[in-house]
Parts: sequence; structure tokens; C-alpha cells
Amino acid sequence: VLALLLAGAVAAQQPPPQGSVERMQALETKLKQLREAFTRDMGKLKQLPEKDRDAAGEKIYGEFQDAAKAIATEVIAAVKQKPDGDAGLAAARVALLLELDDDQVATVLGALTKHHAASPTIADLVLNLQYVDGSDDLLQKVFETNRDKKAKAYARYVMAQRADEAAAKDRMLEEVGKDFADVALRGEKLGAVAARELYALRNIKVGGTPPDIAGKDMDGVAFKLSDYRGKVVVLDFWGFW
Amino acid sequence: MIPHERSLVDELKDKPFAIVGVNTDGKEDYAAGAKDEPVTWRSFDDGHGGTICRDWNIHSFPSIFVLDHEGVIRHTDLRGDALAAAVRDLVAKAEAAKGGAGKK
Repeated sequence: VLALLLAGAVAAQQPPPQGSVERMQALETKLKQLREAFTRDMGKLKQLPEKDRDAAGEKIYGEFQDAAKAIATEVIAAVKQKPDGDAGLAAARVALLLELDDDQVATVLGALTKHHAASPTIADLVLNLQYVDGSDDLLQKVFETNRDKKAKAYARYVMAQRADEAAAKDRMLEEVGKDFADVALRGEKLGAVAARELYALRNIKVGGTPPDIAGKDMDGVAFKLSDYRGKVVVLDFWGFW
Repeated sequence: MIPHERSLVDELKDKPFAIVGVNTDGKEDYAAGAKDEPVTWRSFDDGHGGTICRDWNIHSFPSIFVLDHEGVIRHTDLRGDALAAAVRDLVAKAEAAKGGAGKK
């Protein structure tokens, strides 16, 4: 028993091999920790004398960027070396959490389109394609070929988000609400998400009557947008940041 | 944006007009910011971009909507002088509508 425990302990200490699924998972964890540390360290800047803040902030940012770039380089190399299989998908998954240059984006999208569009475990990754330039072909292929309902649903939903034309967006959201209403997305059902977004698309525009807003002001006092009916209102979504 | 909005609030303080903010700073940063730049209008506290931004599908800031006195969106994304001119025009219409109703 002791020997087994020892063997287990040694195995646990061995770093996972380059390019393996386990290595990619380790990198994803590392990235998460880096982001948390970044946010925490930036938050602490306020404690420094004002004159030192810019330099300290630049240093924290630079170090984070360097570490993230190193992770990107490693995962992109892994995608290139073995674009198919679980390891390729795992590497692409991590890559999409990072800031990539155009070549790196092309590498990831190429591997995913060629090898993983029909993968049963691609659903969550699909959501990260919303702001990735050039992801439309991949989304289309996932939507058409994937047999996992969630992957299909997410692909259609992200296609709707990416659509430039209001008419196309409207049509795709209708479809999402009809065909994938029961699929969960970030703690909601896609039916509810699609209904809300369709309402916004159709009513939050010039000539439309937008939904009322009920909330609390900065002092915690409840009020509603409709309290201002009878007045001209400039509704300003803003922040000091 | 803020000095401009303040002057609009000043100019139209006795008119049927209001700026309503949806703030995305969170209470702490809002308080810090408001020390340097007094905010003379009321804002919904939407955390760091919460359900109001989500429901309105807001992805860029600032996003500005001008609503007439009946709550209909008349303009989006105007800034500066163009915003002020559009607001003055709608306020005049709101006053005319109110006056008209009063005469009945």
C-alpha cells in the first residue's frame, strides 16, 4: 500500500507531457490564476502614492502580458503539432481564452474547422467565438454538422450575435427561441434569452418603445425609468472608468 | 461628456427634461469619480454592467438614447451639440403638447 501511495505521489508530481490534454488543462488553470492575480494587483495600486501608480501599473500589465503570450505560444505550437484529437481541441480551447495575433487565430480556426466542428464537447468553446474575426465558417459548420444539441444551439446563438443585419439577427434569434428553447445558457434557458434579445432588437431603436427599467440609484433608492414619463429623457449608459 | 451633460441639466432645469444614467462603475468607483466630477443626475446602479445593460443589449459605452415625453426612442448615439439641439427640440415639443392638453 505504501509503495502504491508513493508511486501515486511521484506520478502526481510529474509535469504532464508537452501538448497533452493534461498540460493544456494545467495551462488553463495557470491562466485563470494569472488573471486573478492581475486583477488583485491592479486593485492594490490605489494604496500606492499617486506618482508611483502609472509605473507600477505598467509593470503589472507588462508581466501579465508576457506570461499570457508565453501560454499562447505554447498552445498554438500544440495546435500546430497535433490539430486533431482531444489534445488539439484542448489546446484550441485554451488559445481562445487568450489574445492572439492574426496568424494564431487562423491556426486555431483552421484546426477547429477541419477536425472538431462535429465534436460532442465543443459547445462551451463555441461561445468564445463571438468576438473572433473569421469564425463564421466554423460556426456554420458546427451548426450544420454537430449532433450535440447544445453545440448546435450555441453555434446558432453566436451566429445571431455576430450578424450585422437586423433582419438576419431577428430570423436567427427566432430560430434559437423555437428550436433550442430548453437549452441552458449561463443560468438561463435559450428560450428566455432569445425572447429578451428579440424584444430589444425590435423595440430598442428609433421609433420603438423600450422596456421599462426598474432598479436602484447609487444611494440604493428604488426608481423606474417610467417615473420620467412626460419628460424628455437622455438615457445614458456610462461609467467613470 | 460629463461637463456637457451638467450644462444641459443646468440649462433645462425648469423644463420637462431629465438625464437618467445607467452607471457601470459599481458604488465604490462611482463615489471616487463623483468626487472630482460632480454628477448632477440620477443613475441606476447596474454594477459593473449588469441586467440593465444585458436587457438593453449594450456593448459599448457611453451608449445614449433620447426618449421623447411619451417614452419613445427618438435618437440614439448623439453627442455634444447635436445631442443638445435634439433635446431642445423635443423639450419644445413636450411643452407644446402639455400646453395643448391644458387648453382643453
